[in-house]
Amino acid sequence: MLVLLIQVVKDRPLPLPAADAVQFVSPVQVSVPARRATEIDLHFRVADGFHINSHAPSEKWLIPARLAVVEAPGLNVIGVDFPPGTEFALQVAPQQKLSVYTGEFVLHAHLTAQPGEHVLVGGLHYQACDASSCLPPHTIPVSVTVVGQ
Amino acid sequence: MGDVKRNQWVIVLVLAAFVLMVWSGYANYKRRKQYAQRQAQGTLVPETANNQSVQQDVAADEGLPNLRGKRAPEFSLRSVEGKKVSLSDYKGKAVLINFWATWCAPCKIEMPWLVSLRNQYAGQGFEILGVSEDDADTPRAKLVKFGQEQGLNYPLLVGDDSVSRKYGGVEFLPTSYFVGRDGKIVAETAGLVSKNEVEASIKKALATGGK
Repeated sequence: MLVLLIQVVKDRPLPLPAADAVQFVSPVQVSVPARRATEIDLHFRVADGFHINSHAPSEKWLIPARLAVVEAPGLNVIGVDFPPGTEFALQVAPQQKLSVYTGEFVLHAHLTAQPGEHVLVGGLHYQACDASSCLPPHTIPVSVTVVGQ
Repeated sequence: MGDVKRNQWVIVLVLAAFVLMVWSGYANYKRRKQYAQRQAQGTLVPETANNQSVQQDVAADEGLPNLRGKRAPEFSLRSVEGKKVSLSDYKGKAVLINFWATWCAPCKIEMPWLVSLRNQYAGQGFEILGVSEDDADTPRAKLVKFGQEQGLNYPLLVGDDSVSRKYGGVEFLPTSYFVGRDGKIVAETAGLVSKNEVEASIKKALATGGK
């Protein structure tokens, strides 16, 4: 029992799994004027020590951050604005600038909603790295209750 | 009398368990602190002999199974050109099994080093097998093109989950295993390490077992 306990503590991997590298922070629910074009902010947070490629990575092989949204009756997502990435370079290759998001970043979703309650369901697809290694691409769920008033 | 003796044993065992748990917790804290420091600095571990062992310890903490000293798990994969390649094809050679992906920026940084080190040590019986961890549905043509663009001079293999599992799941890229001439793993790294460290591990693999 004791041996098992020690083994569990010792073998616990340190880095985050890809699923935990980014979190959807808010909002859970938002009210918008019904039948009018509006926009809502979607807040995400990248775990400390990690970065993800921005929507427009610095080179073609890298995987961009993307938001996919499921079509829902009464809710029309017209488009999503991504913020510009910040420059990041690994110390061993300072000349190779990457375009990344770190910390909290905000997407602006343009939408129209019919009166009533709707659920915006989607997923943020990203690929995260730390200062020396990369995690596989991953998609986290995004869910926002949109109330058209 | 018997009860007293048994109670004493129980107390000793409980104390021993407590000491072991404290020690284990402290060791775990120390390793986490090292890792956190490395992350906060955002730097590679400097290329000193002292820090090399730290890097290996960190690598062990990053989810790598400790395969050092064990026989490298055998595998057969298709190269990006469609040719069957097995680890056993390289019996007697030192082999660097390098897990990579097209989307992995640190992997791209070390690739020119690998090309140059292969040029330098191939004559001594050294080969690199680059195992792609791209999605299974990635077109092989894309991998071929990537290899050409990077000027890779070693076999690129299309990885699969079964091989990754044999090597501990390969959660982070790049991940490398250095196999000695006797087929046993002499070093393993997770994440980008310095070219000097890669070269040191290659030399170790070349010096181990076999001829």
